[in-house]
Amino acid sequence: MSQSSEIPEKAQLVIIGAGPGGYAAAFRATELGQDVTLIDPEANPGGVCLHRGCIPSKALLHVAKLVSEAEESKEIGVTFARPEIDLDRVRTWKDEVVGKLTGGLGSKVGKMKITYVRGMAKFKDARCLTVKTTDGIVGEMVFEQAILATGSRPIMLPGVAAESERIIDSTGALEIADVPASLLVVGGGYIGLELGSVYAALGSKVSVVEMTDGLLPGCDRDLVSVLKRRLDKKFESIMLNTRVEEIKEQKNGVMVSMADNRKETTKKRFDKVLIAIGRKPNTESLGLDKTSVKLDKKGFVEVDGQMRTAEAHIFAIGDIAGEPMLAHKAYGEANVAAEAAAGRKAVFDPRAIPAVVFTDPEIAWCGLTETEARERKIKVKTAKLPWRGNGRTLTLGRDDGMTKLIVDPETDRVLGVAVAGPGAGELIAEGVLAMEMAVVSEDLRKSIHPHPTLSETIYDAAEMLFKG
Amino acid sequence: MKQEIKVPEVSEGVTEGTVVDISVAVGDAVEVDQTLLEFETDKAVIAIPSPQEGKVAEIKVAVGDSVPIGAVIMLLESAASPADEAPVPEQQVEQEQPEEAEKPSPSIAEVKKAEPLKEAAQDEPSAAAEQIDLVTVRRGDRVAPAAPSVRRLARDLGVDIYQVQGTGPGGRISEGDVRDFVRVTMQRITGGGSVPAVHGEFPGLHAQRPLPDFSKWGEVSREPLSRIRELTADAMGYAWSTIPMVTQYDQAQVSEIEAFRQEYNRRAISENRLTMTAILVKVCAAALKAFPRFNSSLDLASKELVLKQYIHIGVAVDTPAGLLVPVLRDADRKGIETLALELNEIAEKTRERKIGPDVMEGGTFTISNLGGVGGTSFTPIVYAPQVAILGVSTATLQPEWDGEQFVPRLIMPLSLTYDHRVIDGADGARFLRWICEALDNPLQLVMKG
Repeated sequence: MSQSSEIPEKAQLVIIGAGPGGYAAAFRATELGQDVTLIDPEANPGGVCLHRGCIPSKALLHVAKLVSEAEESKEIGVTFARPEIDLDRVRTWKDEVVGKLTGGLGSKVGKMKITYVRGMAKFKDARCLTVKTTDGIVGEMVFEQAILATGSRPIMLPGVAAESERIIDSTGALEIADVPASLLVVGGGYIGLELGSVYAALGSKVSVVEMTDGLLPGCDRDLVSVLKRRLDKKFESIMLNTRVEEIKEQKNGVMVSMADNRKETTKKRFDKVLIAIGRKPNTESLGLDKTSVKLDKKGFVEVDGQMRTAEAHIFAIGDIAGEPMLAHKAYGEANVAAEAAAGRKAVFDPRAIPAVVFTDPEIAWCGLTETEARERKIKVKTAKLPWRGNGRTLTLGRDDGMTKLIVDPETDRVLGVAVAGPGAGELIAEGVLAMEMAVVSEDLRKSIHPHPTLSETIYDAAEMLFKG
Repeated sequence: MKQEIKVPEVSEGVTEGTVVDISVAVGDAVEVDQTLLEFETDKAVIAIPSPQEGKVAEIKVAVGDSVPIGAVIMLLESAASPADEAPVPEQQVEQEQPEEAEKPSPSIAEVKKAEPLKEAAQDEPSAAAEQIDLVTVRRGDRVAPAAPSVRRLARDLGVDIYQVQGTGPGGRISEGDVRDFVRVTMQRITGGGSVPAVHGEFPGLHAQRPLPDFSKWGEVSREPLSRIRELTADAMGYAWSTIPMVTQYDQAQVSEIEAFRQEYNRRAISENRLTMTAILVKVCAAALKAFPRFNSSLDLASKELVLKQYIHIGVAVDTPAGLLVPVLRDADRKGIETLALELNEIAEKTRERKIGPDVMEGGTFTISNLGGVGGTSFTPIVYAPQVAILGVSTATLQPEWDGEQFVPRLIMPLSLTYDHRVIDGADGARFLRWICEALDNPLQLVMKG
């Protein structure tokens, strides 16, 4: 790839951060004829998603799936010996996957003649950046337009030393330095549950502590209960309505004191603690105070429908531009920002942004949830189809799962789709297409779905709503 | 409470205008109806008055800005609640931010700067006469129920998809719905008939060829076209390139009429002074009644002649900013006295550019009187979609042989340009002759009119 050893003096379009938002914007803008400079501290593009997020976690979840399927296959007459896990090999394989993908992106950057500067950038003023390369070279770069895509990082619990080996965040967990005998996951969100599932499959006794009254806050409870039934078996314990009061690292473990909603405090020792309480946008080191770019109360950069910040020539996309902090939202925003920067009338107006939790079973949804409909007092009609009756589910040796359609009771238009079950993440794409095309449930009911597949559950759910 | 001052709807079809003057400054106390700023649209400058007493809190536009109808131009702090000077709660700021705050109508500025196909946005036919909104953040069920490709098409055509009624199941908006919206809106603006292509020519630049580098031959300066000049260029260019025109010349003997006029004016005050133009308006109105084809428009698309059952006569008025044509309504149903009064008033207002665009719409025939300037004859250009225009030159005393001797006669040269697609040569000659005879012998008006 064509890494620039020096800092270009001028850039037509500079993109800061080469995660999914940054590299997607770079590719699209280049296609549209812009001269792009991409700045990132990593050797190759990829950002958190490829280096420390989506991709390595999915590689490890594949390992977890193999382990649990081997275990469960006894039920259907196939018995495997207890799996031996070569942790070094698992780690190497995961790194190979990451390397292949990031390397591929790196060579695409080279082929497209995008200038890639390995380093960090900071605003000197609204038209000029100070760039410091990883080799220590410092220079200034004047730009016409900029796209900020610096992403986010895990939030640590206050008062916990960042360099601890026993108290880790998602980045540390993905390194799988070892498989601790016991692991406490602080935070019942998707990151905690996915990584907890990996460690549970590798042999750790995993406990989860969550402050609110349920796992996956924001997700509809009926979907969560499909997951929780299985996690209750896989995990040592799931403590809801429980707050971590104190975490103390000791010589042979971590002592955690937790208080439940009756204020009863319990102390427990774990070999490792994974903090997965959320992520925050990386805006501090950009020198935004040298510009008129505004942040909202949560620290996200405020943007308009074209992803423009308060400085019309500076765009912000991805995690720093607001929730949900998901790579595919960044892709969408990247395309809009790149097109707007090239003078097109693009607008980021998704009718649906899918969310997927890659646990086993997976949970995926898009559009309106029942929870949100209740909060916003929107009248909806729902169809919930359990997977027990679906042929494909049973032939996979499973019976857990649910497909849910949420429609407008008057127009029958699909407002939301949700799926819990193995492969839900793949199935939800049909829901997203349905949402973007503004289909009514009859459209789903009259589209022939392949048999026997899990996708038939969408067809069957639509039939529950279909009259006439 | 801060009240938003928006650009009011001034006239159908007017989608935007230019701020030509800002009469107040931030912090100024203003009274009800005090002029806040002046706004130049298609053919008029409109003063935007303050709706209430208060203090100007923020001015969101600058002189020269192009602003769409409905855009917020100022924030007015009402006099009743000085307490509002307290810092605005953060939340409120947040809500405003994506809309308008900081940047005066950022969408337009950006679109214009970045979009090479800007005629699409300029010709934008939307009913609410607004530019399409690229700024508002919309997600999920707040986004129009249309496929992404349809939403993109709407943006490309300059259509606000949130004004389009979907005809699909559940109100889904199809590509056809968007195209229908454009068609219907264009029909409403053009008054039916042929539907021009959405990506039409740029107004005023019909068949512009590359210009040479004038500076090769000496120093030049450039000035922007005023809105009036741009529209005049468009209207004249369109008429010249699409209408086959013929000009018929004739002379009217106006000694008696002129004597009457001067006698009348001896007793008149300035408001009701009788001008030759006022008399001509009346004569032409009568002529148009006698020759209804001269009061028509050609609709080639539907192969019809549109005959108007009303006679509204436009009078070209020379103003410092350029030629404007206010219209006298129902000229056939008014006496010369009334017409003179109206004409004086309207001409005065036009020169001061205080009339609305609606006063300049709907004319069925036009009179251009250059008699006050001089000249023996000229060929006026038909003001499409009208089909005829009367040009008037300076009347002069000329000897006329009455059979026994030469007598001095006041002769006024007239030129009638007409659309030869609608009017044949003989009819053109007859029409102008009719006018001349009526001027020579006004009794004709009563006899025939």
